[in-house]
Amino acid sequence: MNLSNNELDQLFENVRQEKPVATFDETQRAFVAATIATAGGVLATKGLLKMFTFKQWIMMISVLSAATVGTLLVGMSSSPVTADENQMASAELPKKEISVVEIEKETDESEKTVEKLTPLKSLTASIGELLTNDNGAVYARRNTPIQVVAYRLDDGSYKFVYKITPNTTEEDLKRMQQEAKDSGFELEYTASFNDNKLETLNLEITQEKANGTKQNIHISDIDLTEEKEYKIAWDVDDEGQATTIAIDDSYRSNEVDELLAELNLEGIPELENLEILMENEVALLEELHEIELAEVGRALEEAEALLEDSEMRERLIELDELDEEELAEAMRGIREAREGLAECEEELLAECNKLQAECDEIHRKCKEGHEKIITELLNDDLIQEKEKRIKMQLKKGKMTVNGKEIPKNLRKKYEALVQEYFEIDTDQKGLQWTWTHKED
Amino acid sequence: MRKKQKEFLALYEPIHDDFERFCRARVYGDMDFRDLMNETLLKAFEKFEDLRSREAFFSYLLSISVRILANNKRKRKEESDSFELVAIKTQDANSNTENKIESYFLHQALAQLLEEQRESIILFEISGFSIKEIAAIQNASESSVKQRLRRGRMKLREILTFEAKNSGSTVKSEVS
Repeated sequence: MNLSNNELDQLFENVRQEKPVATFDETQRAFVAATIATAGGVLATKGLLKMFTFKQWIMMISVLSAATVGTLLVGMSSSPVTADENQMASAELPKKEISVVEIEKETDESEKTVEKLTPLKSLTASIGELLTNDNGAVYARRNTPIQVVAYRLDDGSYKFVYKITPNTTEEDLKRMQQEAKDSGFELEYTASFNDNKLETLNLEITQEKANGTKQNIHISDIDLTEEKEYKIAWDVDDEGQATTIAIDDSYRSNEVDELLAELNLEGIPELENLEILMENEVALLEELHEIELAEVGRALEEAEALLEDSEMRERLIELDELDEEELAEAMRGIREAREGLAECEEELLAECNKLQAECDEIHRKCKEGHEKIITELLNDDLIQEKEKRIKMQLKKGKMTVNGKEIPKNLRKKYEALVQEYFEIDTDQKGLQWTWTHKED
Repeated sequence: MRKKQKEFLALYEPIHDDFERFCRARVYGDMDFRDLMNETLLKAFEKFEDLRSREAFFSYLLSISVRILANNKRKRKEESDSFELVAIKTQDANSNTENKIESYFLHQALAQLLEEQRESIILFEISGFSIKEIAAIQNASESSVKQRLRRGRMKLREILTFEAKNSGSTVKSEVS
């Protein structure tokens, strides 16, 4: 039993009435998250845009931070990111009251570091704006080339940003190391100098969090000949302990997290879990690599199968692409040709039948003529019986039958018979003819 | 940016169900339809300024989907089994079971058609586009679309008849 057209229509109707599997809200959340994640343009330019799909967006945000910085960051820095790239972030984040202060660190007589914070002015800016440019912040002039920018947030906490440049000395780095220690985390470094200029730097930061988890950050081969400037920053709470640590322009991941938090998206990983998440990402990337290899294998198999099948496919595609009008034209041509052929066949057949009838008629007439002439010959006693072979002829004005001359008074009759049955014009002058009858 | 986003989503919301149905049917058995939806929306959002007529937003989205699929044709991931399960499991629990099974078989049958045929059929039968509109979306002649629809329906009937026969014989053997 075949499926009818109506039944097929009913199936389509059912599908048209189906409720969607993916709701609008779900789709909207995935879309908004993806637009935020791609706002920096980094993903788009690296051709990774397509990977930002519903299932992978959380993973990709983590991969982004891992790939660009290799660490997490919450903090601020005057990064080299352009205003355009931060346009989205600036527009979406609430503005905060921020005081820009000048910071001086001096060593007093007892060799204790004393911080002098001098309020310069207050301004209202979003974190995005603050990171995009310096907003009038003044770099603290210290005895060493390390520059420090401090921002005091409206909750009373500070953010310090240390800038490392080719002019940074071993002494600066040691001091920074000590300050890190004072803020409650370990900062190990290896540096190489050339001609008293800092060229490369490796950093390792270890921080034990309040909940007992450890956070490790490794940054290797920081090339200051190319980068010119590298920044380390950390938040300090009321007790002077670092809460979050940031390195160079990795604030981007923080920014994305804040934006996502603004959107109340479900499933955003907590910062504390990022380390675990990153390990998972590495495993996932390895797995993806294996999947890709498997895919390549499958693609090769497919390609082979396709090659075998290509001729058939081409035919199918050609058929599919054929214009209906062309097809109709071709079909019309075939139909006309067929009709023409049928007509010809019919005409030919009729002609044949006609010829056959004529032949039959001639044959019948001939037979009748034979019978008639033989009967007349017998009646006229020109032959005694129906002989097997009778030959009548007109030759040199003399008409004979089997060599015996036919009397002149009978000649007209036989000439008329020959003329009637065998369509010979016996009136022609000098005509000679022979009629022969043979019994089979 | 936010204004553009709101504007975009306001245009998208009324056509979400239709768009979802198209994507789900179009890539059934090939990939997760959510991936196609999201990728299409991102691309459409990128080029949102180029949209000439707001009324044509749905066909604008579908044209983008069709182009994405054409570009990805050779790179398609084959995760059909898992997505078939997802597709049937994530259906509305309150919907009619019989319709659900019929829909499952129809989607499976659609997945067996040639890509262009499948696309034409979905656009015509499920999304409700005219032949002229489909020709514009698929960048093909109207007669080609007609041909695809005719052959596609014929093939669907064959497949679904075969499915029905097969499921019938299975039941019999189980009973005996």
